[in-house]
Amino acid sequence: MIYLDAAATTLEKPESVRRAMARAVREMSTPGRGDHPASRLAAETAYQCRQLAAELFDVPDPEHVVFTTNATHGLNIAIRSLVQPGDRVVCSGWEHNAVMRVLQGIGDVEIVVVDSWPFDVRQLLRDVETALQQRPAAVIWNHVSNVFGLIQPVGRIGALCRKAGVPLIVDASQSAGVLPVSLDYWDAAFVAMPGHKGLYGPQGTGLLLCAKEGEPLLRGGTGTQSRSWKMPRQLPDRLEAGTHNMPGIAGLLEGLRFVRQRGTESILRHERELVYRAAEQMDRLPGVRCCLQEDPAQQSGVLSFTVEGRDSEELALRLAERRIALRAGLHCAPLAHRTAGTLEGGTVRMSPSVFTTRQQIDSFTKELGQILRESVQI
Amino acid sequence: MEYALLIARSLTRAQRMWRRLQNSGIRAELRKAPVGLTDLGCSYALQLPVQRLEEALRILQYADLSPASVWIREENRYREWKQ
Repeated sequence: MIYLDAAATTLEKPESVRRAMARAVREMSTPGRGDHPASRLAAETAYQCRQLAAELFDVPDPEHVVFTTNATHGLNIAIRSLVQPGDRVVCSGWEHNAVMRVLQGIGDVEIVVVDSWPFDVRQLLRDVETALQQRPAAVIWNHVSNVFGLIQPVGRIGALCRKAGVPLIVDASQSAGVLPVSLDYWDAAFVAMPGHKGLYGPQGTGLLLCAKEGEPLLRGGTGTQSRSWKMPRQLPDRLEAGTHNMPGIAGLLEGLRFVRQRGTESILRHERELVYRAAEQMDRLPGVRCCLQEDPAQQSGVLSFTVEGRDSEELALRLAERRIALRAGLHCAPLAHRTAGTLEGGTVRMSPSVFTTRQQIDSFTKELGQILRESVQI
Repeated sequence: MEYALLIARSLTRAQRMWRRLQNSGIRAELRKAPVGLTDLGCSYALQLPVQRLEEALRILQYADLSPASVWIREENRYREWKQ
């Protein structure tokens, strides 16, 4: 199988991740419960994971790195900590449903969407500055679009938010492990990321970087301050009720080590090269339109494309029959498709990982060409 | 046996404190504190020789990692230590 759906989850993981997970299942219980070797090993592993994340993402200390089950979980915590019914929020035109559904769920939230298409950074920043004058409760911004790979100027948006005194939540789902992510430089209140995409950890893991205390989404046992029926005030316990996913965290620690060793610049360069290689080959195919940024500096390793007269899901199915895995449709991000004008039919999305090869890209475009030459059209 | 117990706000805080002391040449053992010691119950602590207590507290204070409370175990009972 040629796996080109890393934006959903990275299927191929470093061997060290698999080994660490197997070891955790064999040897670790859970931190913050017992005082025996299995618990101590779990505690030390969890701490090392927090510490490495703090170093990689410019978090002041490991206590402000909270384990979540995925980025959606982290975004739920972050958004519900800052936004109440009746509030106004500002967000980009590329937000995932992990943001939009949470806002809808809170109820009576005025959502101001700031977008520009074609993407114009200067106009975008002007529009954000204007929106901030209305003193929203929060600004929520997607660092990299999960549909189009568009890299947004989060650093500059963070500076505008800082100046206006408005807290910023960043969705780093597609950027963690690929681009610099910095809680400190962005001056963000929260940064949410999954462990299972660009950080090469297993599914069921995520990190929420916290500059603010946050409100618990889940309440329960933390292994500390047990006489109290209130959740602890302190991070990370405040936001981590229940038993930890130690096989996941052990795997995530190895994933972080892998990313540190490879370097995000090198990973991005590799994925971007593959995406442009694919686009160059697809441009020769009839009816194919690749949604790429003109400026490569604004493009990550996520490529969406459409084919005139072809349904995106139908195409993805044909490719799956040829053992080429990618995703089609709306990618849980209808707002992004609305902004780009692809809401009606969606797109086919191809997203390589650090393990994808040039040969695999060439095989993918060759198979796509063969499919398009087949007779069935919608 | 006499020793000092530095109670931490959380396990992760205790781990940070342990590392800071370790890096400063003070050996401490990270352990669970006796349940009845604090009002909140279930906490983590660093156990270290009483002789190193004041030095440890200075190091931790400098690093903004002061313990939530400090106890001395002597003659099979704990007494709270206040500076």
